Amino acid sequence: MHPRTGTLVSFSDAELNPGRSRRIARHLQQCPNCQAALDRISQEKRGLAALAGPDGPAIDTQQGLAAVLAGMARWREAPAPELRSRARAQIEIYFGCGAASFMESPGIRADELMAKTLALISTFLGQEAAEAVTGEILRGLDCAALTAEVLP
Amino acid sequence: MTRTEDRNPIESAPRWIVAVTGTYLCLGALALYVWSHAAPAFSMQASPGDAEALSVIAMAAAQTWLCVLVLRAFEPGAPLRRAWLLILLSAATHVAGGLLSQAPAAASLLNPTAPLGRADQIHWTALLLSGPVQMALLAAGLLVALRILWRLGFWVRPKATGWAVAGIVALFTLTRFAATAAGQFTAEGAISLVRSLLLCVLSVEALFLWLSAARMGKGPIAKCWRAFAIGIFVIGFGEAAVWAIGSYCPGWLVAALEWYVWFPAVAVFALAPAHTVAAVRRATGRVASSSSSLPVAGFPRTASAN
Repeated sequence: MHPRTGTLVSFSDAELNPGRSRRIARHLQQCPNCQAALDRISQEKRGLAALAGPDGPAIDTQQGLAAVLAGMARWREAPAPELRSRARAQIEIYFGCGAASFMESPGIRADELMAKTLALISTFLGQEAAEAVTGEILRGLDCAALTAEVLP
Repeated sequence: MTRTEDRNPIESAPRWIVAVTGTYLCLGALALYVWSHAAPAFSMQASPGDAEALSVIAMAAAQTWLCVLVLRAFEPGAPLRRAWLLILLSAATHVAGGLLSQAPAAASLLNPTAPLGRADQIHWTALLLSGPVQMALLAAGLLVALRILWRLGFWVRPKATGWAVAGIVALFTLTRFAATAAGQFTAEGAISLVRSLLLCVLSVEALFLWLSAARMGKGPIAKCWRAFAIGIFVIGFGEAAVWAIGSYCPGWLVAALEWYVWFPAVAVFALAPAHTVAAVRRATGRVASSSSSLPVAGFPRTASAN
């Protein structure tokens, strides 16, 4: 029986009880597919954590941003409602409700909205502000839940 | 995401500009009222003619400084950097023209330009700098900005009202052109005509800027581009009013009107970069201020776990 993605995320966060954690660890030693899934989860979390750590955006945010956007491009079907609402809130702060409505066309994906938001901020306020807004959007985002939501 | 009230002074720049402009206009109106009632009207004729008021120059200098701050936010090669550079040059030429126009106005031996005997050249240079050159640079900067706005999807087709406003401005320009061509053609008249043509271009740009900014909403970036549009409308209205009433009203009233048109216009132009600077500071400053106060769910733990 393969563990679910959410369980793997909890395992990587050391949130499972010791007994269950030992069972998962034993299964991972025998199952390359689950081990690969766990590696993917860890990689995604490192990308997000590097960008929105507790001390603000990472120093090399441009590369971090590119990594996150590339990661988000894989989440095409993910609703990511929290990410979407945060991106929308930032557009409203700096541009206004009209721009937020205009950008949020029907069917736009969260990663597209995020990319458009950052492109707009970068164009009108500069790269440094775009990096700061990226940190603002991603700060406090529940990485574990988002990863569990978007990973297959 | 709520913000505390520990505002950076730069973030309050738009409020300061509005407060100074309001105070200036109220005091000006009061002075005009007192003068017109307490003294003979001809005392108002001691206006500096073509020289810019020092208050206008000071506000243009503030605009220049704010434009420099905005320009610093953009990396070389950023699309909007060229627009802000042109707007900065426009503000700087306004300041230079205003200062030059003051130089020959002081008929004193202490004036360093007096012994040169080049008052005429300085006068014309000042007129050119603070007139056509400034407006041409502003028009070029706003055109670059408009193209970027349109490329990002903020294109709005003007409605009949918008085209009517643009038509009125064009008609005003043509009327002035015809009036000047019919009379004696002077260098000052030529500069005035070039100004009118540029004002016509600026008015069309202002129309599109206004519509694009209205589409955005009421955020500081929208306010920035809307401010440019309002500034141009104020200048257009003022120029039309001064020209229209110039033949019927005493000179002191026209001079006073010019003063009360130019200062608000320049103040509104200064508001535009002030809004952008405030937005940049708000974005970049919030990271430092909020890192300790915002809840961080997930990231520290996952970062340490990995």
